[in-house]
Amino acid sequence: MKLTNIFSRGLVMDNPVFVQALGMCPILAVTNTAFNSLGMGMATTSVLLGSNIVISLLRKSIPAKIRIPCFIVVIATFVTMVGMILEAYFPDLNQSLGIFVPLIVVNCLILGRAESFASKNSLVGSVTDAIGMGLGFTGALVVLGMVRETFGFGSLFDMQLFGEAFEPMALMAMPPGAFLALGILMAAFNKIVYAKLK
Amino acid sequence: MRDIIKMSLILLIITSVSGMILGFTNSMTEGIILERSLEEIASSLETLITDADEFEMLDDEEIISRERIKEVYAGYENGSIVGFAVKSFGQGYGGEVEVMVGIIGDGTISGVRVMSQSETPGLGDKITEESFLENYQGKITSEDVAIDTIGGATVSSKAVNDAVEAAASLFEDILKNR
Amino acid sequence: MSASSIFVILVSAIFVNNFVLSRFLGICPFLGVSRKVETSFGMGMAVTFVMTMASIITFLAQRFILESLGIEYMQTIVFILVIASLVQLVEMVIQKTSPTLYQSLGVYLPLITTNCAVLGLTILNIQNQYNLIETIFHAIGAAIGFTLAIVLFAAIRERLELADLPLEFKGFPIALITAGLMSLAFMGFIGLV
Repeated sequence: MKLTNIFSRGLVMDNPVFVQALGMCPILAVTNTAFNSLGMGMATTSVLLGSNIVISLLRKSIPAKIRIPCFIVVIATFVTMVGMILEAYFPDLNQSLGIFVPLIVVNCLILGRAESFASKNSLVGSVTDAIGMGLGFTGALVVLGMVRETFGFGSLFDMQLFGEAFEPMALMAMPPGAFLALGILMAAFNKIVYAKLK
Repeated sequence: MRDIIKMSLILLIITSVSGMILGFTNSMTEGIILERSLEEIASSLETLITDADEFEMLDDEEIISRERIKEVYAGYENGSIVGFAVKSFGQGYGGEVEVMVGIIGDGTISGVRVMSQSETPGLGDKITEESFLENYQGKITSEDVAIDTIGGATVSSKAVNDAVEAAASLFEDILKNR
Repeated sequence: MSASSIFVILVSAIFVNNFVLSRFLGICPFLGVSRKVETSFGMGMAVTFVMTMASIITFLAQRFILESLGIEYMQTIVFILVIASLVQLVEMVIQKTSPTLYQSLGVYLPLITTNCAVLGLTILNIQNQYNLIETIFHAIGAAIGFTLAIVLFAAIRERLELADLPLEFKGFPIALITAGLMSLAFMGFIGLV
């Protein structure tokens, strides 16, 4: 498969969020503002990139029988590192992402890419795959975060959009709003992008 | 059998390498994290007890064993106590709401700062807004210190009220006589 | 610690802070395995079992290994390995001892390793500084909450199968919107504790 194909597949055709519906927990939980979404997306992408690189390099020395525990240890190591870095340098972001930082470990997207791609492909391919999937994930998160922040707080990346008269739709910032907004966005994605590509 | 030994060995190697990497990262970041949390405490102490030039943490059993109390600091000016800062918490909707309460003179609340909370964004987290917290300013610890709750954030505001009340009663019972 | 505090933990984990609908933990199985009420119930039971066991073991691991060695930063790795091996162990034991139980629960067990509700629960137990008894009840409450949400959701989805929907909304979109409405209903429990 060509590298450009690997890359764009993660971004659009097999978009981890809108098409595969992977890693739903952080998608719903931390997207109340665009900034939080971006932070979560970047954190997940770095873990994905790290784990894809290591697993692709080690793919010949890991016996098939114990590959899942090995993958999990590699992923958990990167997650813990990212968590420490966030806590040290971005304490506010770390506080708002909360428990979902350690939970990147069980994001099915990362283990899924390790199992179905990195453990079978070369380093270059795995890196491209990680970047494509990571950007697809981040992009979807940020879109959802922007929609929810606009309606829920009347702001975008913390900049106020509307005048004093705007009454924020608090529902969008709360759990039900996450489900509703993602459901509607997914339907819109199906309608526009996916239908066109087919 | 040889298979099992080989596999456990590989898993062992991977885990120990990851342990080593993490230990290293931890030693790099630990200091920064600790420093930051100390800085945060220092800056809130300074804004709550503006007259003080020196702070001391009080950690005798009598104080820290009290319910809802986490840490207590005394502020000194030229060697004599001018106020206290009490770190206390209340049970909010999304977990503990931790606040720092400043008490100066013979029992006036100089201010309340929210140190950490995980309340619902857009609703419960309104308790961090100055327009809510400033209502505590000037309250007297010997009287009722609770303030009106925010509509839509009743549980969260009650958590702050509980924490401030705990700090006030600690002052009345123990700190006042120091 | 009194009986009332245990009751509060239980009620809050089942209704107010429902793991699926307000904490967003365990969404993948919630959306993936909830097409039929029967399978949802099976998944719920398997999760209940693993959650309770995992909570107890991770609690002990935190207390006696991580804290006494001062390596709390290894928490994520240790907890996920405990959960993964626990799931594997449970699978083997059930397969050997009770083939009927294995037939009904077996298929869900491998999925539980990557169920973030389990890892999330064990981390929350430590964060909230629960003692062992509180930890156990928190686990039971979380598991009941998860089962309740997934079974209710499956019942709605069985009906949705028959509904005439615009093509774009079929599958995940309408499932998410349904979950949103359920989550809205569960918000009515705010203030219960």
